[in-house]
Amino acid sequence: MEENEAVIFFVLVGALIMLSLALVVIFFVALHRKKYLVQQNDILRVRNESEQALLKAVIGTQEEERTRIGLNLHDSVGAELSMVKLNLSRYVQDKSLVFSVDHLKKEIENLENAIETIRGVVKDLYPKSLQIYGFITAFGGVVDRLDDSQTITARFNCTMPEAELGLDFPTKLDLYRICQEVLNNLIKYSACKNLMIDMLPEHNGVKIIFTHDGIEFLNADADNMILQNTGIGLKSIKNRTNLIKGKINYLRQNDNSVIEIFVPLKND
Amino acid sequence: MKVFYKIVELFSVLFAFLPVLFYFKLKIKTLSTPLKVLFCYLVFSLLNEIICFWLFSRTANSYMYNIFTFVEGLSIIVIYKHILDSEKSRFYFLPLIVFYSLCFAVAGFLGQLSKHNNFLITIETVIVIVLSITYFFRLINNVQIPKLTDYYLFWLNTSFLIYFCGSLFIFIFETFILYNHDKNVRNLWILHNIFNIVYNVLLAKSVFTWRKTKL
Repeated sequence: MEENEAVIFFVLVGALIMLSLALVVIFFVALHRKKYLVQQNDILRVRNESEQALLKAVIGTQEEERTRIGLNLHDSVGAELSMVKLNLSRYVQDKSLVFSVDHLKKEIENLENAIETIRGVVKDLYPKSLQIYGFITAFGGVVDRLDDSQTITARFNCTMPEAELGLDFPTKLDLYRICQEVLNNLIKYSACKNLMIDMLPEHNGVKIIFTHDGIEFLNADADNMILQNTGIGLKSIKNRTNLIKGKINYLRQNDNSVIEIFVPLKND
Repeated sequence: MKVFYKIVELFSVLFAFLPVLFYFKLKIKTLSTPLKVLFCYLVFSLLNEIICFWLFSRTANSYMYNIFTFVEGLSIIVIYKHILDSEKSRFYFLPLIVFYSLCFAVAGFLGQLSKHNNFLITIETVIVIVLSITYFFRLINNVQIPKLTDYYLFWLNTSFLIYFCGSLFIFIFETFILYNHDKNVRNLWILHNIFNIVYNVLLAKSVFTWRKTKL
């Protein structure tokens, strides 16, 4: 009898415990899944938001560039062409004016200036040399032109062949624009006399290091300027770097200012 | 009280019809593999319930019961093989089926099939509980299912887990309970009948959910 009672007790308690455990498992799964789904939704939302921010930044950068090109055309080409038109119109309006070869030469010179400016803008819009010769030669050319200007002594060192860069054309184009903008900023604001640019292979990517003896400029300065919306060029550099999933750092090393740009390979 | 036990026993048999009824008008071809296997198992289970109910008062139904236990366990393992399908799972499902079949063969070899033994059912119960919990933990990180209650495998898994967890101790002491002279001990079987009713209701809910959401 005692054995029977023990079994009844054992079965009842055992069934109750096991049933409770089953319910706990089900409840735990439902609760944990709910949390997991909320977490996943949050991750998705943050990802969407950052993608949207990136898209906005890209569009913003494009708009800024368009504005800059428009301003360039308006201020230089527009003014030169207007001047040519004005000068030539004088001969049409006033028949008494004598048209001389010197005047014609002057107008041709003005037109040549306008053509040269347009060529410069077009070159800036689409660097054909980048497509034909690749990044190293195209950017090397830009650095050589800067060096030729004799305001800054600039050198570009790259021992890697173009084929080993492992970057596709859109990435190279973005990198070219980033480097152009960095050079632009250095010319305008750094007051440097010597500039050394090294391009090195890195683990799963490429690194470009700008070392100069100009004014110190650090990451915090760049962040502040971007936050205060005072550094359009800096913002453009940052947006483009984010777009190619790269990294940019403004540092101080051995009394020199350094700008490091890291570009990962496409498959990363 | 005796009437109450009889009613629960009768309901336990009648509720075996419920999940099968939910298959009404469903085309077998359109069903997912776990539902196809479940259908075969349910039909077999229904036949078993009817036959056992009919045979119970006339002759021993141990053979039928043991064969049913084997088919039930095998069907559930096959269902889990499909729903836990991954490269890893393929390695342990075949040994599991072989092990379970061996247990049945050993029980047959030892002449246990003619007796009401709790050896096979206990092994089956433990296997199903482990598989069911494994599937639940797999389900946690599955983001493809928007809502658990709209997913038929959630109900299917819940039915297996609740039924087998609740009945584990009854199955362990099954022989002791069913062949005991003490009426109070024999009445413990009503617990199994209650779990069986819940089991069939949840299985029916599973089929119904599939009909509704096709998830």
